[in-house]
Amino acid sequence: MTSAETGDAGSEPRVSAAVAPAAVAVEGLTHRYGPRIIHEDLSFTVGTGRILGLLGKNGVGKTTLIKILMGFLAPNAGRCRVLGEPSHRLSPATKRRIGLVFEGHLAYDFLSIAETERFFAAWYPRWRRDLFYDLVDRLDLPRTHRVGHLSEGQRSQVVLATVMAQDPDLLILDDYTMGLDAGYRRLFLDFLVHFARADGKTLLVTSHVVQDMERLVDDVLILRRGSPPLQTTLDDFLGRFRRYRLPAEAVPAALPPSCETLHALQPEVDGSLSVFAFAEPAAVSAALAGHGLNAGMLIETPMTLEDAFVGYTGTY
Amino acid sequence: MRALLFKEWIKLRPWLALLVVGHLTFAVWFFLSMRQEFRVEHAEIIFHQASRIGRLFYDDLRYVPLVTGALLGVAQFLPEVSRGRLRLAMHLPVPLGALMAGHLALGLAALLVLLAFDLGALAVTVGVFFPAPFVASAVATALPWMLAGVAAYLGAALVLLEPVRWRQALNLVVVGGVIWLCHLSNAYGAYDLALPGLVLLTVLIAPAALLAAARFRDGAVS
Repeated sequence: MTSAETGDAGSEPRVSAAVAPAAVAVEGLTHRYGPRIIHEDLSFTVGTGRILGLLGKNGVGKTTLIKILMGFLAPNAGRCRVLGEPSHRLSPATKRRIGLVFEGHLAYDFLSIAETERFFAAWYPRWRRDLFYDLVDRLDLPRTHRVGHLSEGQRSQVVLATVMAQDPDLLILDDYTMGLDAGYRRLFLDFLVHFARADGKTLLVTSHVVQDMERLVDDVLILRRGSPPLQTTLDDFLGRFRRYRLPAEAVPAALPPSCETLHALQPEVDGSLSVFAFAEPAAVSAALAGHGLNAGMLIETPMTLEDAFVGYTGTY
Repeated sequence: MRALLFKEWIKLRPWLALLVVGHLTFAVWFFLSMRQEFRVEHAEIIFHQASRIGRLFYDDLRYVPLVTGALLGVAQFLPEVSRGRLRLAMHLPVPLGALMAGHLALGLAALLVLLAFDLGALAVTVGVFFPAPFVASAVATALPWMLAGVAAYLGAALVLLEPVRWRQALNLVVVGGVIWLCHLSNAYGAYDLALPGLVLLTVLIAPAALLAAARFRDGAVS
């Protein structure tokens, strides 16, 4: 992978999302496990006050990148600065300004809810006890309840309350949706969105549930194996990345290859063909016609972020 | 660090309660069994066995510190490393060295209190039934066992914190070797010259554990 595309308006969007000073700045990041290259010369930024969704299919290096940003993995090469400091050598003062939500909602199982609050409050001068209990009291559980006895959804609330009460400037959340049912996922997201928007927090978030990102993020960074990552605003991505559909009767047996105009061609189960492209309808029609397809039957269809993500990264 | 003490206390209190009850029970049992020895045998015969034949009447104490140290180390660090939970503490606004030294200091303090109690119970029991010179001999004999307890505690921390499998195995062998050395001889005065070296070996496990924690933070993989 190379630097995130953030430049001119070619066939794919190259729009800079970061106009504010960067809360996270990654430059020329390279990391490998043995001979396997996970990231090579990766560069991107997360502007202060922005909410960036890190998207990508399994195995593209999201977890590795999050580990590096959280300071739990030293990159092989390149610079990775979080709030102005190297991510794996953060000073205590900078750590205070960063809230982390680990995959699986890591918490101290042996502490009760009240003990969790008491323990973490001692480390953070800006601790907001009211915020903590505003969130966890909604669980309608005694504060003496052990965290280890909570359901995954309840635990996620305690973890989010803990991170929000720290009043951090930057939050990094690694797949907060894991193990949550729809109700708790919604609850988590609602609080997170409100907290981030109200106080101008910077967020970097990954999730397997891409549809949630549509409500949360300002910017997306999409990682694809073997391709440069794409960083742009959510609006730009959804506004410019399009899906067209060809009915089954117009779909030939041999599909044309993807190219600069035709980003991806995806046969659907009903025999129709979805064509994903950043290009305008006329350019797509021309490209399809150039391959002998009857582009007159081409229809542009609306899509969600999840549709766009799958179209951009592919199903397999 | 008071917050750290609070967390460690909550985590360890059931185990500490178990250990305190266990050590109290052992001390009482040890006293009663010694008294029983003197009831069924003449004191002269027991003194002869202890001083001439070299029979250890307190041999049951030998592995108590070892088990205590290992149990305390596992109870303290297993919950931290399982699911990588230690990352929670590592993100606290405190330098890694101070954080891990704080964890080890708290565990060691609890362990040393228990070991001091064991030594005290040994000294009192031997002092009640034997002449005074036997007390010094018993304490000197038990000191390497106490050191084995400290090595077991630090060794458990070292092995659990180490993220690299081959290093973990190597650490286990090294710590096992230190513990073995601590139990090598019962002879009176056998450790007089070796004890400082053994103390040094044991103390060196602590910085090794700090290095293992740094590797844990940096995401070292096996």
